[in-house]
Amino acid sequence: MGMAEYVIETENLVKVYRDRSGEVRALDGVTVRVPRGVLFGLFGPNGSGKTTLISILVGLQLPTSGTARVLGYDCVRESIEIRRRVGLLPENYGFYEYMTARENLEYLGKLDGLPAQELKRRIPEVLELVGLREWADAKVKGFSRGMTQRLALAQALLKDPELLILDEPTLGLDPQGTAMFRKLAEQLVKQGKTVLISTHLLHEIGHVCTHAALLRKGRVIAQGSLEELAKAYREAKGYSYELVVAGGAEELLRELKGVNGVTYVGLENDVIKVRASRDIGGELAELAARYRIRSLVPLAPSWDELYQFYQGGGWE
Amino acid sequence: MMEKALIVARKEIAENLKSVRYWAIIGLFILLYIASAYAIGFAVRGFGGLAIGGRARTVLQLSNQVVNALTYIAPLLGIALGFGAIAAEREKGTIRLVLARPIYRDDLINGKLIAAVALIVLAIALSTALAVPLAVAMQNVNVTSEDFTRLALLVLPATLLALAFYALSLFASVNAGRSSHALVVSLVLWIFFTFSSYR
Repeated sequence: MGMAEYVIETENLVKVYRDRSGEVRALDGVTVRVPRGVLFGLFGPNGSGKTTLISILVGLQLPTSGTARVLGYDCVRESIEIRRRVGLLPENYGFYEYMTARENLEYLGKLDGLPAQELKRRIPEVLELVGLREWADAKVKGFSRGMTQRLALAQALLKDPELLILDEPTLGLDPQGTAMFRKLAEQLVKQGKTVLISTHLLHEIGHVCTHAALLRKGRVIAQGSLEELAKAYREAKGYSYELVVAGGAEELLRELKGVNGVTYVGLENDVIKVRASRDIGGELAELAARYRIRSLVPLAPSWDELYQFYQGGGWE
Repeated sequence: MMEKALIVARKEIAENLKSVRYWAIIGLFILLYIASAYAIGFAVRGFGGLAIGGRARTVLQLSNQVVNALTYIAPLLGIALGFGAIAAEREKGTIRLVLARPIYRDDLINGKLIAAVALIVLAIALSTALAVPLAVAMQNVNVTSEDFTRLALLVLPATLLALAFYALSLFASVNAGRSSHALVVSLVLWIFFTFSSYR
């Protein structure tokens, strides 16, 4: 993959906070590459350095050492160019509560440098996208947490950015709001945009990500596509498959148990679950051709399972 | 470069013109002027009317009272506008959305400063324009246009004084973690500078 295909590239990024009690290494040599046009997850527990990394990427903090480029621009010297092109939903943000949703977006849009005519067109569009069109002229003071979070997404989308960075976007959202976020993020990627989602709530939004970097205590413990990261996991933990059968399952079950490397076979409501110590995809495809099998799916581990696998335990 | 600062300034001015705090300070200015006028009137009558000091003395007394009133209130106007300028945005998290835009931090501070100049000039000019004629009428004296010019000129040093305290509280606001801390620091500075001048 060439240089231009990465929208974010960091090299050995270090951020040290110093105070009277000593120093904290929030980032400890972070090297991350985010390919263009993917839904990328920045996963890690609280305090793993996600927000610090994002702040450096958009030029709100300076790194102690190392380099970072976003959309080809240097994060230290060209941060204005980055913020011109990147939509950011930061963590712990707030709106001007005495102003309406539209007034807030107008103010932020003007600071983005959008002309008045474009703002007039764009504000109803983004409010529609996040389901807040009918609340455009309501004061933000009366908004629920979910509505505020939707408005925060709207402000990030205002300039129609090629890269969207969302820091903990589903924090405090109800399941409906979370589903809206997931759908919207997928839609944006289909439109050719890159979406980076930083979260510690992997079960809520992690599964829509096709690529990720896993952070722990300021270090990247693994990164790549789901398939790339799942490879080492499968080699260590085994391969899982799911077959949906239309009939004749007993005979198939017997054959499956005889396949070299199979460690488990179970049947439940026409669904056969198979685990093996090696990749048996080829053998299963041959069996599928002989039996009435509706579908054969190699199961990918969840990001939760991958995180625990790469860091060797639970959230810590 | 100035374009972003002007966007911030326009929003700040609109925000303050809608706020109760801003109009309360203008109201306080007017009350203080009127209270001063009453005090002068009381003193003058107590000494047998204008015969003692004459018209010139009363106008001078009124000017002195206006200066005294402005010495106390103008810094408070600056502080009221300045202490939360950055710290409150930080507390509410609005600064995170603003700084996520292609804007320099200088633009944000300059915008606040431009708005402060406009708001301070408006507050002092408006309250002086309303209160001084009222106070003069209470003294029941004829004030010449020259006297009016002198009184009107007081607006300039008062504005500068308010701006000086605005700058101090803005500095506190930028550096303090919370707006309440910035307010305390600003008030301590106000007490120090105001009362140390009486030594």
